[in-house]
Amino acid sequence: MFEMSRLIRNEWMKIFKRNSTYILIAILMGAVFLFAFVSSWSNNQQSQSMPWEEQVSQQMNVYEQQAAQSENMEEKIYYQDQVAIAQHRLEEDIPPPKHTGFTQYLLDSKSNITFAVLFTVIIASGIVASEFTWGTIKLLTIRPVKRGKILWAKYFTTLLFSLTLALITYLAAIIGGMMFLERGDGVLLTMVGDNIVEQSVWIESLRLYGLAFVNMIIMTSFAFMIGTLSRSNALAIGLSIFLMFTGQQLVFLFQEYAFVKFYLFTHTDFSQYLQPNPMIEGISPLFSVTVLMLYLIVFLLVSHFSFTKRDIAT
Amino acid sequence: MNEQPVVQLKNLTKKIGSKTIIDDLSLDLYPGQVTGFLGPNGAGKTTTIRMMVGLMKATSGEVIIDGYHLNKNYTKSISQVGAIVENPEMYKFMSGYQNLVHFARLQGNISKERIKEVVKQVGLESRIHDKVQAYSLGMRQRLGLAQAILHKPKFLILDEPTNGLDPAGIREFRMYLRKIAAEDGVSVLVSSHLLSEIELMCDRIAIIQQGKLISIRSVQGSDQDKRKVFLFKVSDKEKAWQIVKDNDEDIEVEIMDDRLMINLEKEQAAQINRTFIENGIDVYEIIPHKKTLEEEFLEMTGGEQIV
Ligand SMILES: Nc1ncnc2c1ncn2[C@@H]1O[C@H](COP(=O)(O)OP(=O)(O)OP(=O)(O)O)[C@@H](O)[C@H]1O
Ligand SMILES: [Mg+2]
Repeated sequence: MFEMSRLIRNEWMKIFKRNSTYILIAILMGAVFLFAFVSSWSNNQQSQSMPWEEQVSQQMNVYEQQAAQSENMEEKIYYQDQVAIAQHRLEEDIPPPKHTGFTQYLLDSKSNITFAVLFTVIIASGIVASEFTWGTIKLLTIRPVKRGKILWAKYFTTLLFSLTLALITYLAAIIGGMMFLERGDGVLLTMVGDNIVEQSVWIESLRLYGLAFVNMIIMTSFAFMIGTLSRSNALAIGLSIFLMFTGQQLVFLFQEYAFVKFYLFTHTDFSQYLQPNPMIEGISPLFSVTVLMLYLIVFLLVSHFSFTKRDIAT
Repeated sequence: MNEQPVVQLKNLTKKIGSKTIIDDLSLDLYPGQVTGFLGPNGAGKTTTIRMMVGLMKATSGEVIIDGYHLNKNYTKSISQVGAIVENPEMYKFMSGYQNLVHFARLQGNISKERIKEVVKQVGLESRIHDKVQAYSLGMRQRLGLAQAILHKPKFLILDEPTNGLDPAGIREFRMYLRKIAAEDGVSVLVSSHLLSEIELMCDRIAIIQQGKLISIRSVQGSDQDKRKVFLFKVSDKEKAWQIVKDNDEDIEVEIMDDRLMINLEKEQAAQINRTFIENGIDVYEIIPHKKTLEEEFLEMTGGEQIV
């Protein structure tokens, strides 16, 4: 255990003694602030909308129709709940968050996680591969520590780093929002059992960020595996980023085929379960978790054997 | 030597594809002994060293260090090894000191004091907090040595360690190796192409060619050879040549520049000297010409051939 913590400290040191890491973090924070600024700016461009009561009752009508039309039980319940919440708002005079306000902005800001994933992928690709390009792998592995342990320390460090970036993204989004957006603008409501309760924006936003973090772990592990296998930084970064941007699109391309149920990117977006009708019929959160776990195990096993069994000849 | 070897290589073989890079190599290394590891480019020195530290797996054969099999008990056996394999590549974006802290953590329990002590030993005190990026080759080499001796290993492997060191640095390095071998009983394996250096530094020399060990012997060995080449500087070399030939048809004698090169035993040299003087030839100089390691090496490995 002590040994593991020493190894992780080493890896952490090697990440944070590099200037490029700080540049990545600065770019990440810059992007998040820019997002906040653009949100406030585009909101100001929008003309004054109708009063919220009107909006909510319009929305309620849509939900009622959808509830009536849906054949799927789950879907029906979802829309019925939405109708109940809308009714509650009108009866009790509780406005929803404004499109232009802090609450809605913070929930939307979870898309910034994409930047965090991008930068974590860069670190994950390099954490093993760079040791080979630098030639330091030799001095790293001729130590009284099993190669496997060194690899695990690198993996944990990568996860820790991705968690750090996710937190930085979240905190920067809050700070950016406080600087640029209007606060105190309505209330989120949700169904708990049969009761309608107030939902705090912090909990709701953390939930969304948390779901996005699942995707982050998978992409990070994928990049980690490619970096370990190829021993090449550039290849791992390139391949991971390419998949990050095309992987999700391919789900729609593959949706006619049976294997799409076992395709990685069918499952990486967990926010699909916040509404009925996930991307592909017949998948559930439990099924997704199982598939993702299987992928993760394969990624890690492949990395492990590649790292511990192959000769080091650089 | 009746001591137990620290390191045993037993029938080590490495094949990559169909190519045999190391061929049935066996070698024992003893405590307190500095062994030079020589061979032409591509002979397999680095490959052998890689197998000794577990970077590469041997196709067959075994490596035993301090009684432990490298394959079966990696951490135990490697804990007694310190090594530089080819260039000592370090993390350039960190300081020399941070690099040492990094390797110290990998070694286990190494105190701050020990790191300081080693930094002093390799003479890097004034620059240890600079980034490695700014180090000269020789300074990197010193840092490489520092990380290798941090944990006081029983066995030190150094692949071309003097590459880039200045003359003072080489001298210090040599003295240091001799010291840890003599005082701490460390066994050292040094590969180098600087044969004069190896000759000064080593007790024993192993020569490898095309993956095969072709010679192991002690450095003093060549001193005890009875036959030697003597160089005579004389007043009349043609006449002297004739005298030698008249004396004994079989003696190898050659005129080289202003000298006579004669292959003789010690006693014969004195006798020939007397004969020259008796025949009115002045003898200005007699130099016993010891074969250098370089000459022997070239003879043994057949010159510049690279595999
Ligand atoms: N990964 C590899 N794949 C194929 N052949 C290799 C590999 N690594 C080394 N070799 C071959 O093995 C042989 C021995 O190489 P090695 O690096 O051990 O030589 P060396 O004695 O250290 O040479 P030098 O004096 O140039 O350092 C060479 O012929 C080399 O081409
Ligand atoms: Mg070499």
